[in-house]
Amino acid sequence: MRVRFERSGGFAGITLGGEFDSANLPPEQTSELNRLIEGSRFFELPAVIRTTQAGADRFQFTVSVDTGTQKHSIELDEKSAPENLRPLLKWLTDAQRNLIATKKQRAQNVQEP
Amino acid sequence: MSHRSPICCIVPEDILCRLAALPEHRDRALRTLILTERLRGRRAVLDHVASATTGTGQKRRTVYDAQHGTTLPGKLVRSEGAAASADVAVNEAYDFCGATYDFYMKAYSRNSIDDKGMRLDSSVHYDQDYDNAFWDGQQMVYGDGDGTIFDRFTKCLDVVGHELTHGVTAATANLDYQGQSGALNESVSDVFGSMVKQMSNNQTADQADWLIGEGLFLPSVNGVALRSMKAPGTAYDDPQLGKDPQPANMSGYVNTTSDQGGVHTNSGIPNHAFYLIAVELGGFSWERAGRIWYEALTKRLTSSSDFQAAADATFGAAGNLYGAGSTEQKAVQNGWDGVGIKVNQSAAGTAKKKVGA
Repeated sequence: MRVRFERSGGFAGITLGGEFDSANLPPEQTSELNRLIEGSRFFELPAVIRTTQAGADRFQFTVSVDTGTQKHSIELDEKSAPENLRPLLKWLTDAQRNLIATKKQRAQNVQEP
Repeated sequence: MSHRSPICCIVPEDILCRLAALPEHRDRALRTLILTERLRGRRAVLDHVASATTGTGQKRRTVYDAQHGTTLPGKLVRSEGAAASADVAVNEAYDFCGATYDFYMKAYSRNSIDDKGMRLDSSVHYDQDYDNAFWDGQQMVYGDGDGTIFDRFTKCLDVVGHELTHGVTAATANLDYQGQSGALNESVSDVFGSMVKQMSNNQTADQADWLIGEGLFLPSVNGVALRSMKAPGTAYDDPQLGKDPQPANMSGYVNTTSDQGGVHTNSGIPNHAFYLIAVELGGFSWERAGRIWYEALTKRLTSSSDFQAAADATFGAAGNLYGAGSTEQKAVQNGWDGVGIKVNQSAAGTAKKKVGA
């Protein structure tokens, strides 16, 4: 299973994004990701979920999931995110941020041998 | 809408209403209004001027604590005049909102977001590890940052000024939050947010740092701020986070579907134009450059305005305020030139003014 994720916008305008491949993930993370995708009823969601009343500086998301048998992509703004999709968006955001934090930690360790 | 009366007065009624909103002119303006209204036989004179005097020169701030949830506004924790909280985020939201209100009142006699004394609502501690601040259409919302990249978003005065200005834009030009009009919307928030900080620091254009969100990055990030109006594209360059993507010129305009068409990226272009104009004119940026931008925002721009329309509108506004061919108008032309946009003088001359603005 492959999951592609992008979060853009927000006050900072810094895009977070990346791809998660179950082949490279620890089994417990793969099962958590599967659980969140099922919980969001991802494959039943419309391709575009947006409101014209989203205000300003909110995040924009795109998520694509390819299980090998099913494929679906959605784009949405933060304000319109369905309640049962939010845990998946949070998981993907945290995973991307943790990746940055880990890389920073490694870079720091290299600098301070 | 104000009522127009066929009776002639030396000072028009709408100007008197505006004067009544200014503390130093209030009493005399109100006396004149009441007198002329009596001459017309109107009795409900105080109702009639109520819109001009509600919250006259008075801030009405409320700060809520979202308690790390996403339900807005959350629990009321500080309202206008209440003592400071033990919570630094609450006090920052309160104080910086006040500084932004004062900026709009002092610089442009604008009474809050809607110019009618609208209450300024802010919610702090939104969600968990939330690395953002936003305007939700009714209020300002601030996260505490993520502990890795971002500090809390109430930390910077210009961030608060930026968010509150989204409210002002929504109440005036109402620029569509997409593509070039969206990037203009973002730029307007950076321009006024930066000027709020400059006024608070009593800085002239050449003394200001022209940075947006200085100190918002945690020390592990290689960057001074989120954006630089003086040198777009140079605010940060971090091996893990990437480089500031803002262009300073139309030649670097970024075509993208992300972020509503790059609204936080291409805003670098009008941001830099404003910086060039403010520095060319010198002195306090809110006095002339800012006034030109304010006039364009409140009277000339519309929801679909693009960068060219902004160049023409600000050129037209400068001509209207300071005269055709004035130093100010030339500075506006030079500023847009500096970012690769040629002012269309004929369009500026006939720029459609918004009715009723």
